[in-house]
Amino acid sequence: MNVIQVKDVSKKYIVTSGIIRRRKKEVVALSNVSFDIQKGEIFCPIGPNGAGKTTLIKLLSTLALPNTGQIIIDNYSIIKEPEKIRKKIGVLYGGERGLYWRISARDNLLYFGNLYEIPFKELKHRIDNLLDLVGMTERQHDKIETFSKGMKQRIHLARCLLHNPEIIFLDEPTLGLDVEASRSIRELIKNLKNSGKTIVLTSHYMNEIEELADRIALMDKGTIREINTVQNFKQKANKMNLEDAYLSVLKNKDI
Amino acid sequence: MVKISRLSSVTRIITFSFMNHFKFVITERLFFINAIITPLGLSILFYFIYANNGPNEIALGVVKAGLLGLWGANIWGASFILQGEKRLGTLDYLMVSPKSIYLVLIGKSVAVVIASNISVIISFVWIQIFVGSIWEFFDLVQVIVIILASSFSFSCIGLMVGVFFINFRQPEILVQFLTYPIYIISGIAVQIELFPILIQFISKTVPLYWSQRGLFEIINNKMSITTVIFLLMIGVINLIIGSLILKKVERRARWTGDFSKY
Repeated sequence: MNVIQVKDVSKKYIVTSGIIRRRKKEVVALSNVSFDIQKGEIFCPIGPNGAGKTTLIKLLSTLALPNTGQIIIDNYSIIKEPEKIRKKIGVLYGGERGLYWRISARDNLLYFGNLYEIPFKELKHRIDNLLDLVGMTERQHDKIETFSKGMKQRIHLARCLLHNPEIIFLDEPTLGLDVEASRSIRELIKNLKNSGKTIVLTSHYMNEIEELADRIALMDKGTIREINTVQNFKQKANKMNLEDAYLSVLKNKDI
Repeated sequence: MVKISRLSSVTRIITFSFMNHFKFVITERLFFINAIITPLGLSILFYFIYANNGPNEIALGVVKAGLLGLWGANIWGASFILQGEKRLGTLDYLMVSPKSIYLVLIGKSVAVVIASNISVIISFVWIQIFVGSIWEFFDLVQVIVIILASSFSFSCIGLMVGVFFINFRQPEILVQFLTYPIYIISGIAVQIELFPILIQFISKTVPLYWSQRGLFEIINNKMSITTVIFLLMIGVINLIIGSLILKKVERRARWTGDFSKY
């Protein structure tokens, strides 16, 4: 069953330059992108910087609107019924930003949890469970500004799962994390998949994609060049690992 | 039952936004300069300006300085609500939550105006120490009514300012624009009768004008309910305008994808 349907989606940004004479330039972030994602699948858009992965996550998570095309998530259109979609999705945009640094981890989760109409008692219970899940129970009353990058990322993940979303968008969730923190987040993602969640994950770490992805979408300059399983992608490029296959396909436009 | 649950959810969002932002505001050093140092400095200046006019005029001048502090700190704080969210990267997450950003802004605007009231309290303490018993000059109930009505009106303006910053950067420019010209046309330092009719009309659309007028009426024992009504009315108008423009501003920001830029 397809839970996400993307049809002919394009997104352009207007970039201005100059101080006195303002010049406007159109930058195409996505061009006629189409794909479907099935329930319970881990779908991974991959590609170089500027390929359009983050824009795609922004569109799927209702943060930005497409210029053309249609995105349907769980039978709701992101243009007509974004509020209904927002209740069903959890988002992690990546990077350290996105939390209130001067309040505690628990207060952050309480604050964001309140935006999802979760009954207060249940919310407290969920926060306890999620803090336990991401291994942050002991530091829950400490301010975010005292946390390392990995700790912040774990709180991001806990926030993303607060309302038990069916669909999860993770934009580079392990960016800049150490080996141990990355591994624990990968394990968490696997557990989420096993519990039936649909996950859209972007990352520049090909070993991570190889370990987690059911299907990958190779993106380049705002277009999707290929959608395939990791195994088929490697076979087609005649390479042993995903990183080699990825580099080979990117260099060779004919593959 | 569903309505009660929704109401409780809305109340919780506003309350938590309020608490979250209140903690943020009262730990901002620049906010304290606006809310404490500026009104203290102005109180001293007003003291000398009105020194020869008797204690009533001095007390009024000092409270007006407190009002200026309240206005300045409120506008400064409100314009930085969304700037702060952008800086922290939290605006993206607020925009993809199912609840309207307007509820968050309401809680945060109220937090700003309540924290800004410190400048009014300071002006009362100043009068108590240097001029005489505050209750010789002001009726407690009437002062509370004017301050509450002013706070409501100011927070509604703050809310509208906040809405604009979903799209725009450089809040300091708007702060400058809203703070100093409005100081001048509000009638606090200069009588508005000196200005042409059009500017006098603009003065009367500014809540600061009605706040200072209310305090003037209280100190002269002739407080009018019209002043309070005007203060509340200006607040409600700003609240409605804010909610009307929010949808357009939000939609434009979703087209341009500008949420994270600051």
